[in-house]
Amino acid sequence: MSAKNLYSLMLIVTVAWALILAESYFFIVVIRPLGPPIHIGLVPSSVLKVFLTACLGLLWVGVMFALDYLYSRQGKTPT
Amino acid sequence: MLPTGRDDVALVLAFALPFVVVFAFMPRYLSLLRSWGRVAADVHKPGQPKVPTPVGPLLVAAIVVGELAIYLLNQSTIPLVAIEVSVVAGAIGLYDDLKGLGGVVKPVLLLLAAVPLLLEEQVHHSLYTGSLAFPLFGATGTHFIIFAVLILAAMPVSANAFNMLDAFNGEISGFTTLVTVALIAGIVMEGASMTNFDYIRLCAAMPLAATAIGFYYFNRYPAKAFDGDSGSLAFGALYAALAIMGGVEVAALVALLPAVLNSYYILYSMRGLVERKEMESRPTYLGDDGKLHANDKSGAPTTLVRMILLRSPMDEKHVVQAILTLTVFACALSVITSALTWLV
Repeated sequence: MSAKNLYSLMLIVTVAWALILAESYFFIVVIRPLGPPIHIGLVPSSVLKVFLTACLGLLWVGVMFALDYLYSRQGKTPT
Repeated sequence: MLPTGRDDVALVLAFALPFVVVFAFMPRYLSLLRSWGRVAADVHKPGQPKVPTPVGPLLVAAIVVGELAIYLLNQSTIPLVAIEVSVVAGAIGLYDDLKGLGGVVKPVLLLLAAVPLLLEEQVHHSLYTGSLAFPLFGATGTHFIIFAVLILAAMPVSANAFNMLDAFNGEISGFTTLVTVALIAGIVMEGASMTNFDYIRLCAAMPLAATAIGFYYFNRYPAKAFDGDSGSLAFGALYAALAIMGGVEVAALVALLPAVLNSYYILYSMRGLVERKEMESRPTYLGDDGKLHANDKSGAPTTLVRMILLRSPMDEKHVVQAILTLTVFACALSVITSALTWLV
């Protein structure tokens, strides 16, 4: 088993984990306090909360696909 | 709060009974499947030996026995919900094993696995908190509608993530064992931080761990049994339900990262939900050297295994070792996440 292959994948998992921690900070500290609370609030604060949360999800997915692209490109043997 | 003697008995039985059921009944069940002609080719080995499948119904039965023992000792609804979730997901998987379900129909049907959780919460109001506990930064507010939507999404996501990782000998059984141990560690840490912790939440996770460990013996390389979708979907849905009822959703998600990434890469490369048999080309192929190679064709789906094999071919045993090593790493991050959530 090539350890180098696995180290790269471990790095991807670590980045995914670190993003979850960083995004949870952004969610708790920035998005959650946006008032008024979502269940009594009208547009725009509740919509903004949902939009920003969706952006966090998209950011996570985007970074994962970028890492997959870099990993795959690194793995191709030049001919 | 310290566990009572009854809690200790429930904990021991919840682990021991499913383990015994798997070991006691698996050989006879495998003979039965063979006599019915229920076998599948092990395509990653030269000669493609036939392996009995699906053993999912026996695995679900083992989980049911363990959860039932907890219920009989404590009359809690938590083990009943665990039974309902695993039976619903297992039944959907069994239908897929026997008749086949489409790539879109299966996740839609798996929404049904969330129904027991949502209904029981409406009646008893004690199954879950309705908020997510994040590491370091605290918990979200309680939002039952948003949380219900998350529960509905969690079932197909988790069950399909397990299902998509069920491709090689010992992969799903080893993976389920490792992530469930990380889940149990998270629940233990949560319990250590509380004064009124309900030990049944910990007991309820034991049957899944015991069943997966027992199944690993039969599923490891070279496999004597395949679980089929009935096993992997039941494992995945029950894992999600236990994480929700245990209140350790974020740590559970972190342990699941290799499976989640695998699913994302498959979905992205296939441009949607596609059944394994509907794929035009396989992500890997068995070479003349007896090793697995990454498929270079442009239509081949991207999977974690294909990524591992991109640089060098490997035999099946080492591929699974690599996946499980990656899972151990994710589980270590999960345990750190639990510690940051409950102990810091």
